[in-house]
Amino acid sequence: MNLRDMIDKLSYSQVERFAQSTIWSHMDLEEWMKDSPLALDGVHAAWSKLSGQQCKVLATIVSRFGASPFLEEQLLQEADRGMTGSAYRLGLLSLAEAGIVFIVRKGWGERLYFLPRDMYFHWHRIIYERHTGVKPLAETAAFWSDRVTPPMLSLQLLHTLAELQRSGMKWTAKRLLSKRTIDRSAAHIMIKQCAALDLIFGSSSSPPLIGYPLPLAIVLDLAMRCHLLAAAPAAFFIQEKKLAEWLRLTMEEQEERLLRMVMEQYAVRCPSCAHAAARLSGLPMLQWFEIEIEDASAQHWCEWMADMGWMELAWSEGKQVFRWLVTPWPYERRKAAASDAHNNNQRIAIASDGNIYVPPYASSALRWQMEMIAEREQSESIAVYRMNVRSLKHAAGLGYTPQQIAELLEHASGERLPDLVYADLSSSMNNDALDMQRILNLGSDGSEQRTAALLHDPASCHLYEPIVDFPTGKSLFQGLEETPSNWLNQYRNYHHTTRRELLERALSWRISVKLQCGEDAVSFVPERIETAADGWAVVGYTEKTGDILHMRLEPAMWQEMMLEFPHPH
Amino acid sequence: MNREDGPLMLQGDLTVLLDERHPKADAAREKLSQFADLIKRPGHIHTYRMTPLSLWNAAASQLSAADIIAWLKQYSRYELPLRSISQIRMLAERYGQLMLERSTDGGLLLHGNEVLLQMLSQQSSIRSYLSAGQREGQRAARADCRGLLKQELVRLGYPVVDGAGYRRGEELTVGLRCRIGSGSQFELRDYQEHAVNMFYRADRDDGGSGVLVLPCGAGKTVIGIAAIARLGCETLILTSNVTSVKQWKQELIDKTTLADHEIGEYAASCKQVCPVTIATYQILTYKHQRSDEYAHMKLFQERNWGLIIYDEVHLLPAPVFRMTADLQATRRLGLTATLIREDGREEDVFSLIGPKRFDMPWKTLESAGAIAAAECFEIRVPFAHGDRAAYDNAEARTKARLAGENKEKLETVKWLLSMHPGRQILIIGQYLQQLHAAAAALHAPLLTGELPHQEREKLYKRFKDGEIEVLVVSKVANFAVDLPDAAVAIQLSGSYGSRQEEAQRIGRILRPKRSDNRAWFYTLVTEGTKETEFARKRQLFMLEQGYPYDICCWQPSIGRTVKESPAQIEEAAQ
Repeated sequence: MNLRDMIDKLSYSQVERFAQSTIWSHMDLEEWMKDSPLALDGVHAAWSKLSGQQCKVLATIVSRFGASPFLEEQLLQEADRGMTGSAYRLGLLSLAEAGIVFIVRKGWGERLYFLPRDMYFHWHRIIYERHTGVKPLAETAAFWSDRVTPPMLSLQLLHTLAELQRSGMKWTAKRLLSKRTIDRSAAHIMIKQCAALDLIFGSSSSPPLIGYPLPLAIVLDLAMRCHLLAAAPAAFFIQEKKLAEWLRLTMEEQEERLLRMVMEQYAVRCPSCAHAAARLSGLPMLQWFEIEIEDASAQHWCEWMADMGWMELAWSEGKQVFRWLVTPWPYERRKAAASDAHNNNQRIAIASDGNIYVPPYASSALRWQMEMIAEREQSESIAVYRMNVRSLKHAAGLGYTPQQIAELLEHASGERLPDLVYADLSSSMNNDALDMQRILNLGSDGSEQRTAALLHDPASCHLYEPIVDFPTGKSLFQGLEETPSNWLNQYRNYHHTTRRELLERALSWRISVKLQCGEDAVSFVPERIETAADGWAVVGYTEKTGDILHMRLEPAMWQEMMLEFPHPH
Repeated sequence: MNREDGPLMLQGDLTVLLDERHPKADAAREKLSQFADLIKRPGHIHTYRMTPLSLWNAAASQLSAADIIAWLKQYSRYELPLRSISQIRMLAERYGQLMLERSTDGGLLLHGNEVLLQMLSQQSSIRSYLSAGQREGQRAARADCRGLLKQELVRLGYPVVDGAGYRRGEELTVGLRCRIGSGSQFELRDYQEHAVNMFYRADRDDGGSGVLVLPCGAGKTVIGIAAIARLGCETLILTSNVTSVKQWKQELIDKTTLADHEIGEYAASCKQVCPVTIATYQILTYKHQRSDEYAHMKLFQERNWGLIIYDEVHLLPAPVFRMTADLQATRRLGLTATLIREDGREEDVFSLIGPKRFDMPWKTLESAGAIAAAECFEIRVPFAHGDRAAYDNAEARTKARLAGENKEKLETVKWLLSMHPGRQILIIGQYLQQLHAAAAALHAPLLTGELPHQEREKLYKRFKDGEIEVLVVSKVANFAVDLPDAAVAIQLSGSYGSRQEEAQRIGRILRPKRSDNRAWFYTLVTEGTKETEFARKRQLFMLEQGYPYDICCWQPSIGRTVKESPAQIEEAAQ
């Protein structure tokens, strides 16, 4: 669930209430309503306005639960000593009132709290700004690698979709693509089964359950989430309009969208992966960093990122190192990329032997067309294509004529097509091309379509209902009205039985008590009461100059006492 | 990925693409050719590849990995893939890690890093060749396994710098003539001189063996002869066929002070062993029966050869490789137009003959005027009236022949002859019946395998002397036939998709011409038949060498070709 998902589920007035919190006073309402996720600098300013208590609660949520839903009780179990449970409860409530944490319920289940996935990465970045866990390397360091750098994920996705287009997308009786199509499509994907995938998807990712090899399933899932691929009653189909929009994006924009999806859809499912994804996403691009040998989560995450073509892994003086090849923070507010179509960096080159060289900065639209008319022989930095009888037959099936292909290639290369290539093109293609519209309209005729994702999201926003009636701070302290006011206001000596009652009340409210122990007045956090044959004792702790002191106190060991009632925000 | 404005694009598999149109392309090419092999050069994107062998060849020329990487960075358009940098460093730095030297007692010593030697000594394929050395970082090597050891180490990825030296061989005084038989002056061209120097490598322990790569017509034979003269020793020359044997002998007599009786021919018909002996690969690998020994391999030991020349080294047969492994103390020179072998045994050429010492691309020689500037055309000819139906109804196996023998091609040939008056023209074909018809129609002599050798040589001579302007030949003219003044070749029909045949046929016209140094190659194919596909395959090698084909269509109604190509034949033939 992202911030946008929640905003869409809430009424305007409810969202307005969040935006009007003093924490967001530096932002106007419209900004808050429209921007999802909120801009990093805005979030940074909000962080500076949070109280120490709120900061601690938020940091605990970020580090322990990431963006996964959690119960209040789970938070209290994870709470650091040094702050009472009631302070956590009040802090959590205040974060919910500010629209930082959201409260939902699944069916008739218990009240759950969570950080929206996109906001999780923002808060994490701010909280762990100086604690990425990786060390930068000197510019003079030497690197070694024998790893093949795979095409970036946007290209792997494009190649897979093109293969589906070529091989057909009909399902078998098991509602899966045919074995041949699966094998051919999977061949375009460089993602390998790795530790990060095991952690994220667990055993449910095994092929018998999802029907596809996990790497292919991920690419299909992403294609569906991007609305490029949809499911008809008996087949997948490519959403031509959405694909055209996608192909108009620059490669950087595509990678950014995919990286964000990978972080928000997959990484968040495993707290250690989410943590690694979040802390590495704040690093600069192209700079080398060293991964500590014991930092397994970073290693796993880097391996996966390298399979996506987004990161490069290497060795330097016996240490594993990495660098980002894309902008790792997928929430940059960038201006629309200036169109530099057909500059020399994007031009393809066509050799007279029929090889077509496609440079790394060629547009996605051009690459898609190349996939439709030619076979890719090499997917290195410069992709190499060749047209052959089979590829041209497929192109003819899509409605391309030799003239159209020649024009396309001449336009993309800025040069006249070599004679031999043109001659081959003409002789290899039949001119009885099918009507292109007939092909392209497949599946976009309003028949039953599903664009849902392929991989189940256990925390999908569809599974939860938001709770907007927040409890008040006082409602967290059951029995407050019946509590004698002097327990709260007066520092007094009580009978041992009353002392126990005060402590039981403090335990149920998870608050501290003030105790006069000899000369000293201490703030004591009770954890439990132990009863023995000869009496009872309270076990808990107190904080002294930053250290936690564990104590077991019998009622005779202190004199005056009172409940330390927290003041809700 | 960074963007720079360089002409080179390095791929992760060590392929390098060179954009020939870039202003820095010439400078980049010059550097690149020192450590990468030119794979193909169709159009303006040329493909090079760095291989272990090319990098070791570069390392042998004192180029370090750091130099190579720095040059690639300097000329690269995009950031270099880290994997490629790592591989270049790893491979190039392997050269020189192992050294073979002669010990004081005449044995062989393999020197190298002790850890590496330990690792290699455990390999079963070389364990028996090595024994403990007197100190760390040294192993004693069996002298009789010098070639096999080098061969195996290269296979394991570790080249050996062989500084164990050569025996001198029997001395033989050979001088190069200043004036040849025809009376014209003779001297080595600069690049030929340079090639010999690169082979000889004076004062270098590892000189005296290696391969020179030059295109057809560049004078490989002359370079071989110059190497014999430089070394002044008895020499065994191995070549691909009898015609080539005769050509070598003729060149030796023409350009050196050697007398006829000092040059022996060793082939099926005649087996002379002289101070310079020229033999064919076929005779060396001849066995009467399968189980027999190679009877003629003894030729390697029959005299104290100081040099063995392997002509067309890319055709060197496996048994000769095996024999060569035992001849590592003899200097070896390989000559070829391409190092690429169909059997993939380039590594054996490197370890047993030696590293590549010199390479010159075809087009570079053309620019320098050392070979003729050739233009290639594919002319698509429709079937003669009524023959199309016969083709359509024919069985698949006869279709190729029907297309090849298309009668309309003869009309095209007549027109082409009229376009090139006064030029020496070869008409080459696959089918005898068609060739007989062509010869009759054009009143030109015909040279086929049916003709005795002596008759063939007479015809060649008359053609060379200019007595005959048009000669019709069958595929017997494919190999090693020296026809210096053929300026035009018209291929009536060819065998399916043989790239080698196409290259050989074009090679016939590339030798430099006395007049304007231009040449034309026409391949006639029947329109709308499988022949166009075969032609396309045949053209690949030449395309890769930078020879684009213009496509023209023959119009029977007007008796000339039309369009399709910006360069009209008529214009081109002026």
